[in-house]
Amino acid sequence: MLVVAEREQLPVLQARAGEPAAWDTLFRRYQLPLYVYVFELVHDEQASLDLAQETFIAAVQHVGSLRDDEKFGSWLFGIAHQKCIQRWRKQNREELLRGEIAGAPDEFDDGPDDLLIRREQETEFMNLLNQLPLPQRSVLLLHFIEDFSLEEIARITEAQIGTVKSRLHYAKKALRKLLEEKK
Amino acid sequence: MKTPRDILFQRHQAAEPKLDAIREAAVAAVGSRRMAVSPAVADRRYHWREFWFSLRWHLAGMSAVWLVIVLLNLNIGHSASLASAIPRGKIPPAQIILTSLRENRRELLEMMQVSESRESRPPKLFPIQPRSERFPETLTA
Repeated sequence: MLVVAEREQLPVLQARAGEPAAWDTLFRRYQLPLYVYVFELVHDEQASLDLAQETFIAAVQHVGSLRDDEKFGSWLFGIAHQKCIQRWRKQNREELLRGEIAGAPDEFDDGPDDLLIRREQETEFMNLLNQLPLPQRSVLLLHFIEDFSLEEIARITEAQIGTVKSRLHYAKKALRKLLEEKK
Repeated sequence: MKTPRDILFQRHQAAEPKLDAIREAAVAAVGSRRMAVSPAVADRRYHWREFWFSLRWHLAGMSAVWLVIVLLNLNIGHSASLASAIPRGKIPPAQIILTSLRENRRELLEMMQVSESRESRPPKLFPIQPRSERFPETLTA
Protein backbone atom coordinates (compact mmCIF):
# COMPACT_ATOMS: atom_id res chain seq x y z
CA MET A 1 0.00 0.00 0.00
CA LEU A 2 1.27 3.45 -0.88
CA VAL A 3 1.38 5.59 2.21
CA VAL A 4 0.80 9.28 1.59
CA ALA A 5 3.34 11.07 3.73
CA GLU A 6 2.58 14.58 4.89
CA ARG A 7 6.01 16.01 4.25
CA GLU A 8 7.97 13.81 1.89
CA GLN A 9 11.50 14.67 0.95
CA LEU A 10 11.17 14.64 -2.81
CA PRO A 11 14.13 15.57 -5.03
CA VAL A 12 12.34 18.44 -6.75
CA LEU A 13 15.36 20.75 -6.76
CA GLN A 14 17.49 18.10 -8.46
CA ALA A 15 14.67 17.54 -10.95
CA ARG A 16 14.72 21.25 -11.74
CA ALA A 17 18.39 20.81 -12.61
CA GLY A 18 17.43 18.09 -15.08
CA GLU A 19 18.72 15.07 -13.20
CA PRO A 20 17.10 11.92 -14.64
CA ALA A 21 17.40 10.04 -11.33
CA ALA A 22 15.39 12.74 -9.57
CA TRP A 23 12.67 12.60 -12.20
CA ASP A 24 12.64 8.83 -11.92
CA THR A 25 12.00 9.08 -8.18
CA LEU A 26 9.24 11.64 -8.65
CA PHE A 27 7.49 9.72 -11.41
CA ARG A 28 7.81 6.45 -9.53
CA ARG A 29 6.14 8.09 -6.53
CA TYR A 30 3.22 9.54 -8.51
CA GLN A 31 2.72 7.19 -11.48
CA LEU A 32 0.07 4.95 -9.91
CA PRO A 33 -1.91 7.66 -8.03
CA LEU A 34 -1.92 9.80 -11.16
CA TYR A 35 -3.03 6.91 -13.34
CA VAL A 36 -5.80 5.97 -10.90
CA TYR A 37 -7.08 9.54 -10.89
CA VAL A 38 -7.05 9.86 -14.66
CA PHE A 39 -8.50 6.42 -15.27
CA GLU A 40 -11.40 6.95 -12.87
CA LEU A 41 -12.24 10.14 -14.74
CA VAL A 42 -11.91 8.99 -18.34
CA HIS A 43 -12.56 5.22 -17.99
CA ASP A 44 -10.28 4.32 -20.86
CA GLU A 45 -7.03 2.46 -20.23
CA GLN A 46 -5.16 3.58 -23.34
CA ALA A 47 -6.29 7.19 -22.97
CA SER A 48 -5.25 7.12 -19.30
CA LEU A 49 -1.78 5.84 -20.17
CA ASP A 50 -1.45 8.50 -22.87
CA LEU A 51 -2.55 11.21 -20.47
CA ALA A 52 -0.10 10.00 -17.81
CA GLN A 53 2.72 10.12 -20.35
CA GLU A 54 1.70 13.60 -21.56
CA THR A 55 1.58 14.75 -17.94
CA PHE A 56 5.11 13.50 -17.28
CA ILE A 57 6.46 15.20 -20.40
CA ALA A 58 4.67 18.46 -19.58
CA ALA A 59 6.06 18.30 -16.03
CA VAL A 60 9.62 18.04 -17.34
CA GLN A 61 9.07 20.87 -19.82
CA HIS A 62 7.33 23.25 -17.42
CA VAL A 63 8.96 22.50 -14.07
CA GLY A 64 10.15 26.12 -14.10
CA SER A 65 6.56 27.23 -13.51
CA LEU A 66 6.36 25.26 -10.24
CA ARG A 67 6.53 27.96 -7.58
CA ASP A 68 6.62 25.85 -4.42
CA ASP A 69 8.61 22.59 -4.36
CA GLU A 70 6.42 21.32 -1.51
CA LYS A 71 3.42 21.42 -3.84
CA PHE A 72 4.93 19.23 -6.55
CA GLY A 73 2.20 16.59 -6.13
CA SER A 74 -0.74 18.93 -6.48
CA TRP A 75 1.03 20.72 -9.35
CA LEU A 76 1.45 17.39 -11.18
CA PHE A 77 -2.19 16.45 -10.59
CA GLY A 78 -3.16 19.91 -11.83
CA ILE A 79 -1.41 19.19 -15.13
CA ALA A 80 -3.18 15.82 -15.39
CA HIS A 81 -6.52 17.46 -14.63
CA GLN A 82 -5.95 20.03 -17.37
CA LYS A 83 -5.05 17.24 -19.78
CA CYS A 84 -8.37 15.53 -18.97
CA ILE A 85 -10.25 18.79 -19.57
CA GLN A 86 -8.47 19.23 -22.92
CA ARG A 87 -9.52 15.72 -23.84
CA TRP A 88 -13.15 16.39 -22.89
CA ARG A 89 -13.06 19.69 -24.73
CA LYS A 90 -12.23 17.75 -27.87
CA GLN A 91 -15.20 15.51 -27.14
CA ASN A 92 -17.47 18.43 -26.12
CA ARG A 93 -17.83 16.97 -22.65
CA GLU A 94 -16.35 19.88 -20.80
CA GLU A 95 -19.68 21.00 -19.36
CA LEU A 96 -19.81 17.73 -17.41
CA LEU A 97 -17.02 18.94 -15.19
CA ARG A 98 -18.50 22.36 -14.65
CA GLY A 99 -21.74 21.36 -12.93
CA GLU A 100 -22.21 23.16 -9.62
CA ILE A 101 -23.95 22.19 -6.43
CA ALA A 102 -25.75 24.90 -4.51
CA GLY A 103 -24.84 25.50 -0.89
CA ALA A 104 -21.67 24.51 0.94
CA PRO A 105 -21.67 22.59 4.22
CA ASP A 106 -20.55 24.40 7.35
CA GLU A 107 -18.04 21.85 8.52
CA PHE A 108 -15.54 19.51 6.89
CA ASP A 109 -13.46 17.52 9.30
CA ASP A 110 -13.19 13.87 8.26
CA GLY A 111 -10.17 12.35 6.52
CA PRO A 112 -10.05 9.99 3.52
CA ASP A 113 -9.55 6.92 5.70
CA ASP A 114 -12.63 7.51 7.83
CA LEU A 115 -14.68 5.70 5.26
CA LEU A 116 -13.97 2.00 5.62
CA ILE A 117 -15.35 -0.46 3.14
CA ARG A 118 -15.93 -4.16 3.63
CA ARG A 119 -14.77 -6.63 1.00
CA GLU A 120 -18.33 -7.35 -0.13
CA GLN A 121 -18.97 -3.63 -0.54
CA GLU A 122 -16.00 -2.97 -2.85
CA THR A 123 -17.93 -3.46 -6.08
CA GLU A 124 -20.77 -1.32 -4.78
CA PHE A 125 -18.29 1.36 -3.82
CA MET A 126 -16.77 1.44 -7.30
CA ASN A 127 -20.21 1.47 -8.91
CA LEU A 128 -21.28 4.39 -6.82
CA LEU A 129 -18.05 6.25 -7.47
CA ASN A 130 -18.69 5.91 -11.19
CA GLN A 131 -22.26 7.12 -10.81
CA LEU A 132 -21.19 10.37 -9.18
CA PRO A 133 -21.18 13.49 -11.36
CA LEU A 134 -17.69 14.26 -12.70
CA PRO A 135 -17.03 17.31 -10.49
CA GLN A 136 -17.84 15.34 -7.34
CA ARG A 137 -15.92 12.29 -8.51
CA SER A 138 -12.85 14.37 -9.31
CA VAL A 139 -12.81 16.01 -5.89
CA LEU A 140 -13.47 12.74 -4.08
CA LEU A 141 -10.68 10.94 -5.95
CA LEU A 142 -8.16 13.66 -5.11
CA HIS A 143 -9.23 13.42 -1.49
CA PHE A 144 -9.03 9.63 -1.37
CA ILE A 145 -5.89 9.11 -3.45
CA GLU A 146 -3.53 11.76 -2.10
CA ASP A 147 -5.44 13.32 0.80
CA PHE A 148 -4.93 16.74 -0.74
CA SER A 149 -6.11 19.73 1.26
CA LEU A 150 -9.17 21.69 0.15
CA GLU A 151 -6.87 24.48 -1.08
CA GLU A 152 -4.83 22.03 -3.15
CA ILE A 153 -7.94 20.40 -4.62
CA ALA A 154 -9.29 23.86 -5.44
CA ARG A 155 -6.03 24.70 -7.22
CA ILE A 156 -5.95 21.42 -9.14
CA THR A 157 -9.57 21.63 -10.29
CA GLU A 158 -9.51 25.44 -10.66
CA ALA A 159 -12.59 25.80 -8.46
CA GLN A 160 -13.45 27.88 -5.41
CA ILE A 161 -12.70 26.34 -2.02
CA GLY A 162 -16.39 26.62 -1.09
CA THR A 163 -17.32 24.69 -4.21
CA VAL A 164 -14.77 21.98 -3.46
CA LYS A 165 -16.04 21.70 0.11
CA SER A 166 -19.57 21.38 -1.14
CA ARG A 167 -18.72 18.75 -3.76
CA LEU A 168 -16.76 16.69 -1.27
CA HIS A 169 -19.51 16.88 1.32
CA TYR A 170 -22.24 15.72 -1.05
CA ALA A 171 -20.09 13.01 -2.61
CA LYS A 172 -19.18 11.53 0.76
CA LYS A 173 -22.75 11.81 1.96
CA ALA A 174 -23.94 9.90 -1.10
CA LEU A 175 -21.28 7.22 -0.56
CA ARG A 176 -22.14 6.80 3.11
CA LYS A 177 -25.83 6.55 2.33
CA LEU A 178 -25.23 3.80 -0.19
CA LEU A 179 -22.90 1.87 2.07
CA GLU A 180 -25.41 2.03 4.92
CA GLU A 181 -28.21 0.86 2.64
CA LYS A 182 -26.17 -2.15 1.59
CA LYS A 183 -25.38 -3.27 5.14
CA MET B 1 -12.07 -3.44 5.95
CA LYS B 2 -10.23 -1.28 3.41
CA THR B 3 -9.91 2.40 2.78
CA PRO B 4 -11.09 3.81 -0.58
CA ARG B 5 -7.42 4.40 -1.48
CA ASP B 6 -6.56 0.73 -0.95
CA ILE B 7 -9.43 -0.37 -3.15
CA LEU B 8 -8.56 2.09 -5.92
CA PHE B 9 -4.87 1.18 -5.98
CA GLN B 10 -5.58 -2.53 -5.87
CA ARG B 11 -7.87 -2.25 -8.87
CA HIS B 12 -5.16 -0.60 -10.97
CA GLN B 13 -2.12 -2.53 -9.75
CA ALA B 14 -2.05 -4.39 -13.08
CA ALA B 15 -1.22 -1.18 -14.92
CA GLU B 16 2.12 -0.84 -13.09
CA PRO B 17 4.31 -2.50 -15.78
CA LYS B 18 2.88 -0.18 -18.43
CA LEU B 19 3.38 2.80 -16.16
CA ASP B 20 6.98 1.71 -15.56
CA ALA B 21 7.57 1.73 -19.30
CA ILE B 22 6.06 5.19 -19.60
CA ARG B 23 8.18 6.43 -16.72
CA GLU B 24 11.36 5.01 -18.23
CA ALA B 25 10.60 6.67 -21.57
CA ALA B 26 9.96 10.01 -19.88
CA VAL B 27 13.15 9.76 -17.83
CA ALA B 28 15.14 8.84 -20.94
CA ALA B 29 13.76 11.99 -22.59
CA VAL B 30 14.96 14.00 -19.58
CA GLY B 31 18.42 12.45 -19.93
CA SER B 32 18.63 13.35 -23.60
CA ARG B 33 17.73 16.99 -23.03
CA ARG B 34 19.57 17.34 -19.77
CA MET B 35 21.28 20.64 -19.29
CA ALA B 36 24.66 20.73 -17.57
CA VAL B 37 23.57 22.80 -14.62
CA SER B 38 24.07 22.06 -10.95
CA PRO B 39 21.18 22.20 -8.43
CA ALA B 40 22.77 25.36 -6.99
CA VAL B 41 22.63 27.04 -10.39
CA ALA B 42 19.04 25.90 -10.87
CA ASP B 43 18.20 27.24 -7.43
CA ARG B 44 19.87 30.59 -8.22
CA ARG B 45 17.99 30.82 -11.51
CA TYR B 46 14.76 30.07 -9.70
CA HIS B 47 15.38 32.81 -7.13
CA TRP B 48 16.33 35.30 -9.86
CA ARG B 49 13.11 34.52 -11.69
CA GLU B 50 11.16 34.99 -8.45
CA PHE B 51 12.96 38.28 -7.83
CA TRP B 52 12.13 39.70 -11.27
CA PHE B 53 8.59 38.39 -11.03
CA SER B 54 8.06 40.26 -7.76
CA LEU B 55 9.29 43.48 -9.43
CA ARG B 56 7.06 43.19 -12.48
CA TRP B 57 4.71 46.07 -11.54
CA HIS B 58 7.57 48.41 -10.63
CA LEU B 59 9.29 47.61 -13.90
CA ALA B 60 6.08 48.20 -15.83
CA GLY B 61 5.67 51.60 -14.13
CA MET B 62 9.26 52.60 -14.81
CA SER B 63 8.91 51.52 -18.44
CA ALA B 64 5.82 53.73 -18.79
CA VAL B 65 7.69 56.73 -17.30
CA TRP B 66 10.63 56.18 -19.64
CA LEU B 67 8.28 55.91 -22.58
CA VAL B 68 6.75 59.29 -21.72
CA ILE B 69 10.23 60.83 -21.36
CA VAL B 70 11.30 59.45 -24.74
CA LEU B 71 8.12 60.78 -26.39
CA LEU B 72 8.64 64.23 -24.88
CA ASN B 73 12.26 64.21 -26.05
CA LEU B 74 11.20 63.30 -29.54
CA ASN B 75 8.72 66.20 -29.53
CA ILE B 76 11.38 68.74 -28.48
CA GLY B 77 13.79 67.40 -31.04
CA HIS B 78 11.10 67.80 -33.67
CA SER B 79 10.55 71.56 -32.96
CA ALA B 80 14.33 72.19 -32.93
CA SER B 81 14.64 70.45 -36.22
CA LEU B 82 11.87 72.72 -37.61
CA ALA B 83 14.00 75.84 -36.84
CA SER B 84 17.02 74.29 -38.43
CA ALA B 85 14.95 73.36 -41.44
CA ILE B 86 14.85 77.00 -42.71
CA PRO B 87 17.17 77.21 -45.71
CA ARG B 88 20.34 79.26 -45.21
CA GLY B 89 19.71 81.37 -48.31
CA LYS B 90 16.47 82.72 -46.84
CA ILE B 91 18.10 84.09 -43.65
CA PRO B 92 18.79 87.87 -44.10
CA PRO B 93 22.25 89.32 -43.32
CA ALA B 94 23.04 90.35 -39.74
CA GLN B 95 23.06 94.09 -40.49
CA ILE B 96 19.49 94.01 -41.83
CA ILE B 97 18.34 92.06 -38.80
CA LEU B 98 19.96 94.64 -36.47
CA THR B 99 18.41 97.57 -38.33
CA SER B 100 15.05 95.93 -38.21
CA LEU B 101 15.39 95.27 -34.48
CA ARG B 102 16.38 98.90 -33.83
CA GLU B 103 13.39 100.11 -35.85
CA ASN B 104 11.08 97.84 -33.86
CA ARG B 105 12.51 99.13 -30.62
CA ARG B 106 12.03 102.78 -31.69
CA GLU B 107 8.42 102.17 -32.65
CA LEU B 108 7.80 100.43 -29.37
CA LEU B 109 9.25 103.36 -27.38
CA GLU B 110 7.11 105.82 -29.34
CA MET B 111 4.00 103.81 -28.60
CA MET B 112 4.87 103.72 -24.92
CA GLN B 113 5.37 107.50 -24.79
CA VAL B 114 2.04 108.08 -26.51
CA SER B 115 0.20 105.89 -24.06
CA GLU B 116 1.89 107.62 -21.11
CA SER B 117 0.83 111.09 -22.35
CA ARG B 118 -2.74 109.86 -22.82
CA GLU B 119 -2.82 108.52 -19.31
CA SER B 120 -1.70 111.87 -17.87
CA ARG B 121 -4.30 113.90 -19.83
CA PRO B 122 -7.68 113.13 -18.12
CA PRO B 123 -8.36 115.63 -15.29
CA LYS B 124 -8.65 114.32 -11.80
CA LEU B 125 -12.02 115.08 -10.30
CA PHE B 126 -10.78 114.63 -6.79
CA PRO B 127 -7.14 115.50 -6.77
CA ILE B 128 -5.32 113.98 -3.92
CA GLN B 129 -4.00 116.69 -1.64
CA PRO B 130 -1.94 116.52 1.51
CA ARG B 131 -4.10 116.34 4.60
CA SER B 132 -2.60 119.62 5.94
CA GLU B 133 -3.92 121.57 2.91
CA ARG B 134 -7.45 120.28 3.21
CA PHE B 135 -8.07 121.04 6.86
CA PRO B 136 -8.45 124.87 6.60
CA GLU B 137 -11.35 124.56 4.14
CA THR B 138 -13.38 122.38 6.46
CA LEU B 139 -12.68 124.67 9.35
CA THR B 140 -13.94 127.83 7.53
CA ALA B 141 -17.15 126.05 6.57
